[in-house]
Amino acid sequence: MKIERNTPAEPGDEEVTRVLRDVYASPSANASYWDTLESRIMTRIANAGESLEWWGVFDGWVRVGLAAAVLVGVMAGATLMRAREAQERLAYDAVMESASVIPVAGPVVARGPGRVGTRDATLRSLMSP
Amino acid sequence: MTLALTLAYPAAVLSPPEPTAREREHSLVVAAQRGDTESFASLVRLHQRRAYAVARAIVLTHEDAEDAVQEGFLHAFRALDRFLPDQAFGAWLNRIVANAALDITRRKKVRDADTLADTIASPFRDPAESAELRRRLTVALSALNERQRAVIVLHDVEGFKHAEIGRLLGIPEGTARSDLHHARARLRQALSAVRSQL
Repeated sequence: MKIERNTPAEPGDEEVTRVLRDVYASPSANASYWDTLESRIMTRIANAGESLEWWGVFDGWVRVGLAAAVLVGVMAGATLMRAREAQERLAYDAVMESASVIPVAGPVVARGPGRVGTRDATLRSLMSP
Repeated sequence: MTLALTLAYPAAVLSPPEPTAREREHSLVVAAQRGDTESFASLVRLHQRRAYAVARAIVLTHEDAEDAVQEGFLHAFRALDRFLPDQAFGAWLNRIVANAALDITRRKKVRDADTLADTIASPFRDPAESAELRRRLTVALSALNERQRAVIVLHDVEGFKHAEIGRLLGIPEGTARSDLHHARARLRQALSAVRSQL
């Protein structure tokens, strides 16, 4: 790879530079031109500032909106929890009220095979052909 | 004691020294960062010519250079709070303007040499100069790629050093040297062809 450390002047370079300077001559001779450009730059900055302020109003509203949304979210969550608790309590009460009507099975008393076994044997003998 | 001091030292020594250009610029930057628009206007006044020259080297037309300068100053104004006042404001600003100019060039990728030859010529040209030389040079300039064109104009017209051009355009210094070498060769060739025909 060739590394060029210097850019030595060659014949014709002066003319290239001279014509380039002519082509790219800045409008420095015209002082009012720069005043006009400066005022255009500052007007553009001022307009951009106004548009920023316009957005800034929305920025403020965005903050208010976000705060309101958080508040609404918290309130909705609380209401939802309260409704859920009420629903659970109702379900619990309903279960408790119906529990008093449902017969509770009494203790099963084991009976000996004596009487029942005799009656069963009588029935079987009657029904058999 | 005061009288003795006054007699011993001339008034020029006792009075505070005049702030240097760098110090004045520093105070303007600090004031602009605090929101003083008038100070920013002073910075615009100080740097707009150089900024224009940087933009003009990169874009094809005078109008695009003006747009790039305005864009650049607007970006600089918006990014002012991120600028460290101890740095060179001009170098920082020129980098921003160069980026704005490169953006415009990318947006307006015109490759038609004839169109370029018409548009590249500055409206501030010297009428005494050979029109043919200028025409050939502008055609040759349009045949260069945008980076080579920017490098040769920044170096030969605006007097930037290779390292400065590298920083402005975001390329290594060696690339700036190489671009300058190739651009000069192309332009020399174009002008010598005209000379041989005239």
